[in-house]
Amino acid sequence: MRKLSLLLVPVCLIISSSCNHRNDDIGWKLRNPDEESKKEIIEDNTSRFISSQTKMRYDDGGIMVKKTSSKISFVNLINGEEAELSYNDLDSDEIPALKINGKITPIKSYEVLNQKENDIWIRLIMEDNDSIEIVVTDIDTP
Amino acid sequence: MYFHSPMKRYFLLISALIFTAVPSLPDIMEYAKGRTGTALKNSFRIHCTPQRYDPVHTSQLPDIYLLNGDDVLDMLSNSPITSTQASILPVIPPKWMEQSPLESNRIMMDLHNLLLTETTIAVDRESFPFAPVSKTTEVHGNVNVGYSHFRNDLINAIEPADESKGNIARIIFYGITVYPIALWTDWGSFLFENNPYPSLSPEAIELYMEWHRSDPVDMDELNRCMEINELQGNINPFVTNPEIAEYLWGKKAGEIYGIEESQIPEMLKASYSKHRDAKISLKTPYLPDTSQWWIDGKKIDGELTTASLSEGKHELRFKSSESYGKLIITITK
Repeated sequence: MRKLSLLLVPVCLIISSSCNHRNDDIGWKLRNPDEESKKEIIEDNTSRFISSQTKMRYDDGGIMVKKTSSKISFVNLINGEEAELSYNDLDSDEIPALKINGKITPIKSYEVLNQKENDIWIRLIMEDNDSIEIVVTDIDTP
Repeated sequence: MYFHSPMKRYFLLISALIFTAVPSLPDIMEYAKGRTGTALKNSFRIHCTPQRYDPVHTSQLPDIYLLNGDDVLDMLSNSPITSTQASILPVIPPKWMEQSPLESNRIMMDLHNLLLTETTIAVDRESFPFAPVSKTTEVHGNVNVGYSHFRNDLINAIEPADESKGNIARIIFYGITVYPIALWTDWGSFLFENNPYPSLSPEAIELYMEWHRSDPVDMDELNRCMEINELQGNINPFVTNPEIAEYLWGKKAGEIYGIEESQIPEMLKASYSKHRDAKISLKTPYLPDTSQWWIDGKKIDGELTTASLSEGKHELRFKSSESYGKLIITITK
């Protein structure tokens, strides 16, 4: 009997650890940080330009959001900060050009996370792996 | 100031005459006019960043600091050394910017940030900040390495020759203006604050403004600045226009640079006071004057006044031949 119980302990431990491992896998899939951050970006409808160093949210006030056929720009009328994204076609593979305060900032990759009529949610990955959110919504009608 | 050979001085005089005609220089100061505080500092950040970063440019440093024959200027001791004794010394070392490999690589290629000094001084300096040394551990001529009483603390420090202190201060001003905020580590976080303005700690402002005033820009420093402008396409504005340091961190801090307040045309702003501002100007450098405007959904025909709006936030929308967009303005008492 004692021998049996000694055998049962490692067996139970193996089963329990394998169960935990499976649970962790499922948990990891649910908490995929990239998917979660994309979801967070899309769920926020406020026009904005957010990088690690520059934060311009339309609803804070004083942030001018401007769009042309080939450019999206943000200007902070309080401190003069500017950001401008230029592009030919955001649906193509061609990487757009970003200028922050007049300085060209190289983009490694970009992704259009969501697009509805004239509203757009974009995420840029910069060369230093910093990411930038650019969102423009509710802009086309007076 | 160390006197150059007649040939070198002649070359520098000619180059100064040529470079003072660089057309971009007055434009940079035009952008600064009418600005104050953060906006003034940002105008230099926008227009005075290097156009080109090239590691090959650092090989030009011995030419930039060349004196007679093989001698170059040791900028920290303000005395001649042979080029074989010289090492490159970054005033703002990359270690202070370790959070951003991109920017720390750039600052090691930015000639405005690099000096030549004796190799032994460069080694002893490590990444210590520049400050007055009260307890000396190493002496290199008139350069002291040791400890400094700074921010109620005893810190490692290096103190250059008196004739070099202004040069060092102006390089610090340049670095904190041109490079992005919120990346300072090591001793950098001791001198610099992670905010858009003033970006320097109060103690650093006091120290470096004193050095800036006591050792003003001379012709050699201006000529070096212009030689660097030729290579990497930017100036150190605190060398070409030393008065701007006073408007950012000195006696004129908070004052408008370049023009009288009464001469500034009214521009569209983020907020208005009913008490102070009667009209809301829709003039802005970002849109043509012919743009159409709406406020809270109603088309604006004629003049927009603060009296016609309630206190709080209001939405302006605009449309021009090329663009459309929006902006929230705030009306206060």
